[in-house]
Amino acid sequence: MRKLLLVILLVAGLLAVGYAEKVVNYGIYEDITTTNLWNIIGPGATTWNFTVQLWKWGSLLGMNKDGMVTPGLAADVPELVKEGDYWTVTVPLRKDVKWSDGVPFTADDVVFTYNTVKELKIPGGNWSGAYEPEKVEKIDDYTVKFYFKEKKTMTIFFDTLMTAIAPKHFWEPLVEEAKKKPDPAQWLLQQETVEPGVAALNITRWEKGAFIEASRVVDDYWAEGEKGIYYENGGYVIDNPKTGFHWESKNPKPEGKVKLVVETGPFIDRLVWRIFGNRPASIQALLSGDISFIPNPLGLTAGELQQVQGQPGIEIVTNPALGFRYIAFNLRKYPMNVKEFRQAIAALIDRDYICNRVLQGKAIPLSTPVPPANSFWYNPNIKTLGEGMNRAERYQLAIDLLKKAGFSWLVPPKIDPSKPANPVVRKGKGLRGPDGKLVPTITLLAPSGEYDPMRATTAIYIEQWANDIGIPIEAKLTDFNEIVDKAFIQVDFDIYMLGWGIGRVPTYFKSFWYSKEAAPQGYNTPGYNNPEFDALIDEFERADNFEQAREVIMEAQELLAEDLPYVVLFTTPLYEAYRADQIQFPFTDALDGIQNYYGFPESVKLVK
Amino acid sequence: MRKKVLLILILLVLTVIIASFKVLNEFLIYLWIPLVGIMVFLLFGVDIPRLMGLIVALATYYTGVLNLTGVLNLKFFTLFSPRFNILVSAIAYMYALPMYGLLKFIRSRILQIFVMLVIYVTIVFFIFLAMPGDYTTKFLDPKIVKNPEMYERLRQLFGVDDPWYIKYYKHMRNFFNLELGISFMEYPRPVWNIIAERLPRTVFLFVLSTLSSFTLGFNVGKRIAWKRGGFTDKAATVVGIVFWTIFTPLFMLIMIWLFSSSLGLFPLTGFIEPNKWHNSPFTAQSVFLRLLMSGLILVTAWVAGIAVASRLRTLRAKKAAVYGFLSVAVVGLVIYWTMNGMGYYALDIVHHVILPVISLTILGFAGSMLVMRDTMLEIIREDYITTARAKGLPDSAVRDKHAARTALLPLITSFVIGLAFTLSGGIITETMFSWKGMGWTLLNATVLQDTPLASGCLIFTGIFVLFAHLIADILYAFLDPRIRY
Repeated sequence: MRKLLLVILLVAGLLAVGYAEKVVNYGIYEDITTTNLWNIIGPGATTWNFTVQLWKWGSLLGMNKDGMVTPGLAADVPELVKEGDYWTVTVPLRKDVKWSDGVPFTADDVVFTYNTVKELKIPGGNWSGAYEPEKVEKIDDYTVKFYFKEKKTMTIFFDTLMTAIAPKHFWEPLVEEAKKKPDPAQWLLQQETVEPGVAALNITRWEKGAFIEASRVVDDYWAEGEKGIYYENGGYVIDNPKTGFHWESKNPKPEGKVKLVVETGPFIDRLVWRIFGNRPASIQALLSGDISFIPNPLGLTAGELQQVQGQPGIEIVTNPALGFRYIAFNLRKYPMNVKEFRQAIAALIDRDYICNRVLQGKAIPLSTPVPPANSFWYNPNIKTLGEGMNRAERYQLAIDLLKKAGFSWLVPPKIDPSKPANPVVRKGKGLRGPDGKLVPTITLLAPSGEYDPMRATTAIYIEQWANDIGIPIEAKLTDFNEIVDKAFIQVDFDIYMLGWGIGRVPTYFKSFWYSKEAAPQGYNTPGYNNPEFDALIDEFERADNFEQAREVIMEAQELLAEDLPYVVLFTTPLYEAYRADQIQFPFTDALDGIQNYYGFPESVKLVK
Repeated sequence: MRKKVLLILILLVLTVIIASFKVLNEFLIYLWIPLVGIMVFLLFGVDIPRLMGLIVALATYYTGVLNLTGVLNLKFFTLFSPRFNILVSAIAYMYALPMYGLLKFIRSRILQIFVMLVIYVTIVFFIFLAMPGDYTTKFLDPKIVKNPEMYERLRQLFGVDDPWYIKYYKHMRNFFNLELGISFMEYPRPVWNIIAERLPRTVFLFVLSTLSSFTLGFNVGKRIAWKRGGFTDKAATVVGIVFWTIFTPLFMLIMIWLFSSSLGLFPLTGFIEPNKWHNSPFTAQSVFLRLLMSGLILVTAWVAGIAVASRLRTLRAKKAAVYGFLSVAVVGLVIYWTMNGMGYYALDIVHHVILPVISLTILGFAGSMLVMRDTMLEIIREDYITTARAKGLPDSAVRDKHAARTALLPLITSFVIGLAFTLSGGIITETMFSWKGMGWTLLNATVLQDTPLASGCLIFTGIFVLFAHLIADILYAFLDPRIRY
């Protein structure tokens, strides 16, 4: 009898374990503001809206871990073809994709999405790609054809074809209703409904201010078991044994050893994002096991890193961040419009010293606006001015550059190369321009130490080095918004220091330095105007293939290093921590960290 | 005269009841309100200034209502917006009615409050205007906006490029419309909607903590004043001052670390536990509202008990009345929470609120304790206290019934105004305990320069603080026999 009871208890226990719900908890710092796709990609584009929801929709094309363009909802990566007055792209669609409510994904969804954005004039930066095509046409249920007026290869592939697709069957009645309203876009953006995605998980509960929960809503999920296979030679394969879908990269073809296989789940039943009002509490929650990961684009601070280091169950991951910090010169103003003057400043800035000695290895020196980890686009041949020189040599180089441009001093600086620790024997005073007039005080606007101690410290060093040879730079540590206002809106500054978070594909070259993008209309705050650079950017935009685009970007990096509208300073590694005793990610070495994949909602596995 | 005033009050109450419960249909409600005014006017005889008041009230009222309901389009007759007309008519209406004493005082104070609010709302506007940058700054990140044209479109959408007078016009229009505009951060959600979502949580947490810290402060204050100079006095003052001046975020972190992380007695942060609410058929908001309603019922029962007790003669009867009313309310509420199926979820919220309330009480009790102690020290020197002692009354009776009651007056003022400030929440408390309420909202809106939301939060708090002053003044008239308006 006792044995029977034991057996029953054991079976009951096993059943309970077997049926125990698989729940993963993440921590976020802000609530989401909407569940509406049009809004999320539009004015509601917040980090947290993206983190919690963006993964549930698909786009025609995607990008794999190595930066290769791969099919998403498309069945293959299409080509741009000239047809009469238009450039066209014919996209074959996957036939095995279903929305989470069971409705098949078809060409109607694609046409509907692009047409709605244009027709209702949905605002928001990430919809900009949807405005590009002149016409989107359904060829058959699984083929769509895009017509473009201009050959903007990069915009078409990395923007237009990577736009999220909305489910027509869900949105059509609402869009029709919106068209009857005085402000259709605003009305559509106001609709708070949870629409189906193409993922197995979907938002099932949103307790405002407390948590958001995504649960498995599809039993027979089309992508379950689909594998993304990475080969050592760079080749890539998508293989879905369930539906039979198979795609292989053409350049390079997958050969040799497999280095990584990423399988689509989901391997959990529920994913909960708990909202924390402050970072210390979220770290406590991570340490106590209440949450397993914090998908935060800023990663961990130095203090938080120390707090979690060596704690049982915690795994720390370090990845290069996609971004850089820089100083920008106002090329509309004297003496910043003198190339040698900018080069002299660049020669004075010892990035290695700042990163390794001052910031104690917490920053990585950069020589170009493409971080080295973004290897496809990075130009390794770029050398910064003064690289490998000691302090005295740097001072001398800067002085020589200024002299070459016709600058002089009332009291010239005196440098003694035999004293490497303190080579300045006499500080320069009264810098005069080529016209013989005194150079006025130059203000370097930089964020305060409270906002970013790294940039504040760097600004003070730049001020000191410049003052040593008589360049009258004055660092003004101020509010972030004031810098943005002066640089981007008023365009009234000498030099400022800020940072950019960037995308993987250097389409930002156009935004930052193309002559027609000059601030305040665009982001080209220095007012950089170089026809040679503009021609390169045009070529990049219209490149026939990615190889050609890459070569152009390499050349553009060289031009920027020579002309120096920006002096790129450094980037920071992204530190992240997760509970390795609770969850397992398909991979952790990722450019811009695990957060860039929103914590892999569809592939994260429970360890226990 | 008293009968006439009573008649006015009855008519006003009837009006509110009719309007709230929609006893009459919409059309009759619109008719009923001015009718009351005319009746009262006729009752009290013709008086030119009041007649003017009534005409203005009725004119602004009807143009407002007819525009609002869309019956007639009389846009030229609206002062700012139809809603603003109704607001003006309410003030003009008060001037059409005969008011004396306290009512007259209230009337002139409401007019003052209105003028003060306009000034306050203007100041709020210019403070936000003086801040560098704007909300669209965040869209400078090319990760969010890839196309400068789109950036321009967003700037137009949020109206950040408008000249200051256009912005000021929109700001005042939103205020007079009682709408407060549309939030940038949560575009296109109206500000009032966001405030309505966050307010119950904030009110629940801060009213509880204000009540507990005032109760503690009052009780400790009166005791230490009574035994002034003793060890308890010194110890309580030192402890109170230490917590009053402590660095709040650090103290709250210590509380979280000690009680939640180490001892595991309370949840780490937040106001609900996701795993418990996974299958709940209710939203946290609905439970919060019911919890607040329960609190209101308890307070009403307590006040009703006191009101009945004041009519009774013996101490036993008085106590029975107060406890009787309270017991009935408590039993009723227990039955309600057991039957409605929300009890389990309400307990989860209560479990989450304990630690913030304890922390806020420890941090805040010293304020009321010291006010109470000081006032008590002055009062116990009064002759009537000596008389009470000479009569041979027990010490506790002299302290509680004679001294503490009088000493309570300044505390009541600060309590009522403190209650109004609870609406603004506590930026630090809400951030540290992840209690997303008004404070957290105000902080985020200010940091991200969501001007409509930030000014909406400030305006909302301002309105309540001004009205709390009025209530404190009215309460004084009832509590202090020396004050008459």
